[in-house]
Amino acid sequence: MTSMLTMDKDAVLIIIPVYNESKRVGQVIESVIDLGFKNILVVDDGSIDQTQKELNKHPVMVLSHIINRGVGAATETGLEFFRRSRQYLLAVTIDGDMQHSPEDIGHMISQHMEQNAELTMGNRFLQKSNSIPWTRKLYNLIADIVTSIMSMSIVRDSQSGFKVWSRQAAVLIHIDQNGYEFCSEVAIKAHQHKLKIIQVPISVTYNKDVKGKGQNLKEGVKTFFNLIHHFIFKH
Amino acid sequence: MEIYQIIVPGISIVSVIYMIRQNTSGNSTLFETLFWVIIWLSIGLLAVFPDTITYFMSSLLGIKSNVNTAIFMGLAISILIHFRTFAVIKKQNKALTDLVRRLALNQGPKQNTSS
Repeated sequence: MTSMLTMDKDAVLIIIPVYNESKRVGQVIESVIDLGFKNILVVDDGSIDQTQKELNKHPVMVLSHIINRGVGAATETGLEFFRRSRQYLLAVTIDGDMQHSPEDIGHMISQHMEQNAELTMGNRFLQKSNSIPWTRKLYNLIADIVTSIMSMSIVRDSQSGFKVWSRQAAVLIHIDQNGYEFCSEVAIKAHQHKLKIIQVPISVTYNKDVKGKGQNLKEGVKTFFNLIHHFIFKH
Repeated sequence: MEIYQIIVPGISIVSVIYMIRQNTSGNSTLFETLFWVIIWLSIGLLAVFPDTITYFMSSLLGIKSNVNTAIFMGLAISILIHFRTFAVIKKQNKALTDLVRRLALNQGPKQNTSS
């Protein structure tokens, strides 16, 4: 399995969507390079901090959004590049804030190939050692229930952005959601297209810096009320 | 049974189905879908059980008036307009994202060589 993985590393495109991640993206990139992956595409989603400057220090490809459109939009841009670049067989999407451990990429690809999957989803809840805040657990539970109803299948950890995509999955699934909701959208569309989906345990770290970022209960409630406020008072 | 008790729930059901389809096709988020499904189901239920719900609401809020119907209709029309406006905004938002993506891809990836 290891030899197969080593052979295929050049055929893997690592996609890292980032927005204002100047402090952490370098660490993610170096970890990925240390694992032997050379094809790294960073999609800078209109960062206004020092992210571009940080990216210049690393041997990566950079696609830049002129304005911020959200993590879903940035991921779709990376996947569109993957669709157009025939030399890559697999794409891996991973967060740029070190919440995910790049060390898991190898295991995810191995499982993806071994089980002949079309979409492999990292599952944070299968790894017992992960310490996940209860608010995130609750948010994920609600999102999993809604996603399961929408896809008419049991979906677990629907909000994980750490995925391995086959070319078939990338061609069939086009992300329309700009924000964090894209994770549910991908799960729903994958089930609709009857793709072979597997889940692999991944480790996750919620340190002080990144606890306020990403999907959580607060973000979900904020989105909900922003929406109501937007409709009632701004139009 | 009054005529509006057939028409309004009918519109509600169609709207709920529309929102679910919008979600499954990736055109609306989970929270947006939940918001509109709850709104439309509430309107549908209010039309079917106006006395029960308005009695409960008037007891709860202390409002007892025959203008309930007028308020209800006004609210329903208002939400219908917002619903349409929302759809237009979503469409514009998607067009903007497509434009930003096209610009990024047409420009091509900047290849950094330093390590």
